[in-house]
Amino acid sequence: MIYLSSVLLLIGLLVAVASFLYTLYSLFWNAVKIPEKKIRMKISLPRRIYILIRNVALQGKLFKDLSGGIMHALMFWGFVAFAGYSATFFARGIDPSYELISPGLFKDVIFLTVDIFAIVVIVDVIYAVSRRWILKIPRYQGYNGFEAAFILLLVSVLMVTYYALGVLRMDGASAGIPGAIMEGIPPAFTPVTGFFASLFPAASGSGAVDLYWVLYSIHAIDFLTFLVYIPTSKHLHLVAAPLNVLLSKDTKPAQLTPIDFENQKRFGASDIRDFSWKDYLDFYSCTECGRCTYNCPAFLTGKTLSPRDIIWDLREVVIAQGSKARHSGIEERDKILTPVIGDPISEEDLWSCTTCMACVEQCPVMIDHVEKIVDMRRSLVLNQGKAPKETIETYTNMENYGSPWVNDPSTRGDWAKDLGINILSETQNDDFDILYWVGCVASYDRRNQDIAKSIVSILKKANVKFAILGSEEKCTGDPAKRTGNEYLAQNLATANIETLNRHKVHRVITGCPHCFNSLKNDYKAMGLEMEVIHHTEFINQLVSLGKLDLKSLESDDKEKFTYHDSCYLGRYNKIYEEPRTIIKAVTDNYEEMEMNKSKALCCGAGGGRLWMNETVGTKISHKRMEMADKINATTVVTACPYCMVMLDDARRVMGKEEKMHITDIAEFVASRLN
Amino acid sequence: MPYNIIVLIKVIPDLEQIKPNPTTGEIVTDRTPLRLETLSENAIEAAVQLKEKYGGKVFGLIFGKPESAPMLKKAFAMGVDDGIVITGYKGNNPVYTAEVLCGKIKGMQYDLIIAGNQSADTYTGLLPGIISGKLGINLLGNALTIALEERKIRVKSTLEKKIQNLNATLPAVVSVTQETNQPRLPPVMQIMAAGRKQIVTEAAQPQTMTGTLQISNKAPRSERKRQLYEKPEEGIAAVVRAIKEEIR
Amino acid sequence: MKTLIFSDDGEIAAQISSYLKEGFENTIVTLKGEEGKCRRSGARSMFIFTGQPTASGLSLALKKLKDQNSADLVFIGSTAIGRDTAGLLAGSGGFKPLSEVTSVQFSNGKATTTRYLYGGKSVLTEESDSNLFVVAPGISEASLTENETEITEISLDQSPVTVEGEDQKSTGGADIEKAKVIVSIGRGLGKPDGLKLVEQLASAVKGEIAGSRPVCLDYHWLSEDRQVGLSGKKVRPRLYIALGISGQIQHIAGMRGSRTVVAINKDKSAPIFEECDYGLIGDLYTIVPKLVTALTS
Ligand SMILES: Cc1cc2nc3c(=O)[nH]c(=O)nc-3n(C[C@H](O)[C@H](O)[C@H](O)COP(=O)(O)OP(=O)(O)OC[C@H]3O[C@@H](n4cnc5c(N)ncnc54)[C@H](O)[C@@H]3O)c2cc1C
Ligand code: SF4
Ligand code: SF4
Repeated sequence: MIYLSSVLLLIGLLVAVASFLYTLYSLFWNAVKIPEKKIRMKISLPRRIYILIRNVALQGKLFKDLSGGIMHALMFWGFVAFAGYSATFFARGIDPSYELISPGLFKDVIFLTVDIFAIVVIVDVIYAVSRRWILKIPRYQGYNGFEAAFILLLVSVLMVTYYALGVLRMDGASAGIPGAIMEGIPPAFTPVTGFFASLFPAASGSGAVDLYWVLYSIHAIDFLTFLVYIPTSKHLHLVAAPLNVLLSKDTKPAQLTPIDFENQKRFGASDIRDFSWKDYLDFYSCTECGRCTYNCPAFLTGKTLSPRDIIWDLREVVIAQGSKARHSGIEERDKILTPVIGDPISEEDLWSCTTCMACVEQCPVMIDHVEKIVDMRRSLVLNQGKAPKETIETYTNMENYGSPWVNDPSTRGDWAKDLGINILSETQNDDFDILYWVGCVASYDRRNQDIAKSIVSILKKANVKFAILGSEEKCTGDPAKRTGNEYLAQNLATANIETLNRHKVHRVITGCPHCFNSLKNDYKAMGLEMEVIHHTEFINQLVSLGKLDLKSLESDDKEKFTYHDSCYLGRYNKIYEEPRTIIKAVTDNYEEMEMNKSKALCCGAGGGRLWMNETVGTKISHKRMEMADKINATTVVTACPYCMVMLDDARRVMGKEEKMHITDIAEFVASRLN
Repeated sequence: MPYNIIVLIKVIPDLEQIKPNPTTGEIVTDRTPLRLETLSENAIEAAVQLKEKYGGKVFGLIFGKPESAPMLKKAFAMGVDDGIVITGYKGNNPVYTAEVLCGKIKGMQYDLIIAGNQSADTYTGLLPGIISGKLGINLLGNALTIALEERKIRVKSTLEKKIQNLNATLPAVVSVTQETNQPRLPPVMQIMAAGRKQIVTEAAQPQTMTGTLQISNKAPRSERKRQLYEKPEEGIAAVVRAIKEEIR
Repeated sequence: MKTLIFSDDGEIAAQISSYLKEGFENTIVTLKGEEGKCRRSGARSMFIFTGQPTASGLSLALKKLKDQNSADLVFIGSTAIGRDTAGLLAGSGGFKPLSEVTSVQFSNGKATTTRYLYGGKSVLTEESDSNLFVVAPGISEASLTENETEITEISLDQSPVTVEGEDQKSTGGADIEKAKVIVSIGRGLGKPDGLKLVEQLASAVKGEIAGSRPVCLDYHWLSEDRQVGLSGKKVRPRLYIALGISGQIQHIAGMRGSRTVVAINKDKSAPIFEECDYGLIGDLYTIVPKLVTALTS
């Protein structure tokens, strides 16, 4: 028997699925055909599956924002359950004799889950509406409100019609109607439907059958509309995000893809062809949730940079230009693809980024904003020679003096002259176990020289046989790399690698997280194999091995300590606990600031910003010091020379010198050595 | 219309890395790293901007030493089309420098010569004038802006207290200041292309330099004096003396 | 010896004329409007040019004057137009120039001169038979006499380079990058009121006032164009007086090129004391008044 309803349903389904697939095909073919940027990826399947389970199935990263996370997770799980119902709905609707899942306890349990989650989803929708339109949670404001409302409407109609059809079924109105589902499910397995049925008088007769068909049609049309709508809206993430998570580049963030200057023709990202297929998947996965932007230090202090907008703007450009570019020849492409820098993405926003990774850390669908931002900076610097004036000066200085400031490189080791240590540029004596990499800031900045001296005294105390490079050390290139001057960064790295090899260095300790990250990750990518340790790790090891005996000072009782996480130590290299362990080994007077560890607020210096002016909004460093002030901290412990410079400056300018100290973990330890 | 522009490029020892011999106080620059003089960068930028606006070619002329060659590559990267390094620079003597440069320039086709108005190492500031005098062409000094029209040139010339609008005909010598422009960071493609370019060098003519005899070249002091007075009253006299010395 | 002294800045002409006292017969040449500053500096005769000055016009006119007065030596004040004029004179023949001299002595027909080289990092002493000296401003203090020199007006020769109007230099913004003397203040000033005291010192040393970033950018005690440092201006004055500035590297980056640095700070361990020639440790509010008195008495 062929029923009219089955035919209509089949046609509807075919049309909707075709539309769904075509849009997807078009989007994903864009991602295959247009990008020219090549990326390397490791397979590491077990890790990927783990991440997939953690971040998709268990919705792991979403819980960084707890209430929003719970809401989304319930919605997600509800949908997974509901998918089983919908499949059955269409299978039976098209062929009423077909049993997708054979009757039995298993089937009953599935429908039990559906029955429960459907009400959860309805509550969730109400909650979502209130967050967006009543509580007015800031991160949702101003973003595609219509789209959100439409989706929530579709979802709620779907759930309500599900229950309504269920109530009719319980009343017996659907018995014998071809395509009706869930007949014969014991009422105990649909408790919520049962509850609703008890609220209404039983329907019967031809009126009930008519009502059934009306609801049935609404339900089917709603579902099909949803299917068509998904890939054209932010709900594309339903499809793209799981893929994105599965294919996420690496778990080590911000490994900027190196440039092969000999063979590449285009540097950095100027238009949409300069991104990789993975970047496209990032664009498609964005849900506009705004978690990135509302953790971005630049945004939080009044700059116009918004990582969400960067991703979303690029996505819109891909959608607007993609299909046309895909169908055209190379020359036409040059005309169709317009530069993305300037419009829609402003240069100012690109330079505002501190590369702090807060956005990446927060993004539930594992989008990497920072590499895209740096890629666009690369395009400005490498193709057009454009950068803020102060940044261009630092490039000249790094080239001429091997440091971002104008400093005679022969004086780089002067701070250590009277310390009686092995300065390799003077001794050329390679008899040492570990190299202390000092870095530019500690070499030349007076305040930070004290920290370097503390590190030296700790190394001496622990009888470590170490050396420094003195005038043979050059800037690692981090400020150049993060501002997009990959060319200069590679030159500096090559020179340093040559020096390190010449002195046969196998182990390095450094007090600077930026040097640390460069040496450990960037240089490694260039083929340098050595063990790189940050001083927080090293000191922690020494303390736990009993090689350093720390005493607490009398003044410690009067102090309240807090620790400010460096982005390049924390989010970049996942070192959160070591410094805290060290501090807590000495004192109990410790309290966390708001925004700490993986959520820590940047000091404002990364990404080359230490050498730029910050004139828009409030200074990031001031905001951080306010947080320290809020918990009445008297000493902020840092582990990064950049943070030291920024926070010390903030402390002075805000007139908190009397009230608050800033000390590096090395100084903290050195002054408490027994 | 397109113009042929010659830009005079100076290579100097990096001032930050110049050190006196600790015992004699004499300045030795033999091993000091070289760099492009900043005003030369402004001159290059001005020349390249004119080329971009009106068309034509920019030729870079360095009077220096064989070691100056990499600096010509930098100039190429910034947009200079062609150039030469004349070797045999013997030290600061603007008349001799001008003689060597003009000897070369006289055999060339040009409309405009651009140079920095002074250089950071010697501060003589005479070279643009001497060259203009020797070649018998117009001098428009201290240009903030340069505009060309057929054979006419207009320049806003910045003096200590005012700005003059100067007019003249080509060919001409124009000197630029640090405010004239912001020298560009060369795009990497151009840096790499410049790296592959051959550098032509030739020996200076004439080879002998006459004129001044250097008696000594000593650092006025080795480093900061760092005379600290914990009792400030005791230091006031010395400070006042030092201040008067510098402001006389 | 007969000299011809030219500067478009009457003050510099007076300085040179005062410097060349013994054994010189000076003729001063300057522009109309500048004569007041050098009229009483002891020159035998004096000319003022009328009309729009250009380096070419000036060099032609000066050559003529030199010949008419049979002057042996020509001195030109080092200004933008002065240097160009000297260059043109040297280039078109008959002159052996020497630039930026800070002192000159003559004996046996030779001149022994000094000048700074390498941005002030060295002093060059030279012997030459030069007859055209470009003189750095401030070679001596202009000492004025009672007698006023007679003035003859000359209109400038036609020049192949013509002047078509002048623009005003924007006067509002301070040009601390060019200042020879800078009095720079930091947070140690404590309150904007302290500026009055600073102004006294600045006028005593004829200097511009500048400041550290907090003072300019954060507190707006000074305008932003007076900020010295990494993200401000790079200055290279002869004299830099730092009042209540701690001397962080970002600040030092902007004033390292200064020739002489005087620092006043109450904190003995302030890093500025490592970047200074003279350091007075103590409260600026007690030291600066003493300094002002000592300088003006
Ligand atoms: C990215 C970045 C860029 C920067 N760029 C610049 C820049 O371009 N220029 C710049 O200057 N700074 C810059 N800074 C700021 C710099 O780090 C310092 O914070 C700043 O220079 C300190 O200014 P200060 O010396 O006026 O204040 P402070 O460091 O607070 O020093 C005040 C000093 O005054 C002394 N003092 C107090 N009272 C008295 C008194 N009565 N008598 C005498 N002495 C007294 C104190 O002992 C102290 O040494 C930058 C910082 C960052 C992070
Ligand atoms: S890296 Fe930090 S500063 Fe940059 S966009 Fe992300 S959150 Fe904002
Ligand atoms: S990029 Fe990630 S965190 Fe930002 S709005 Fe999109 S999905 Fe949310």
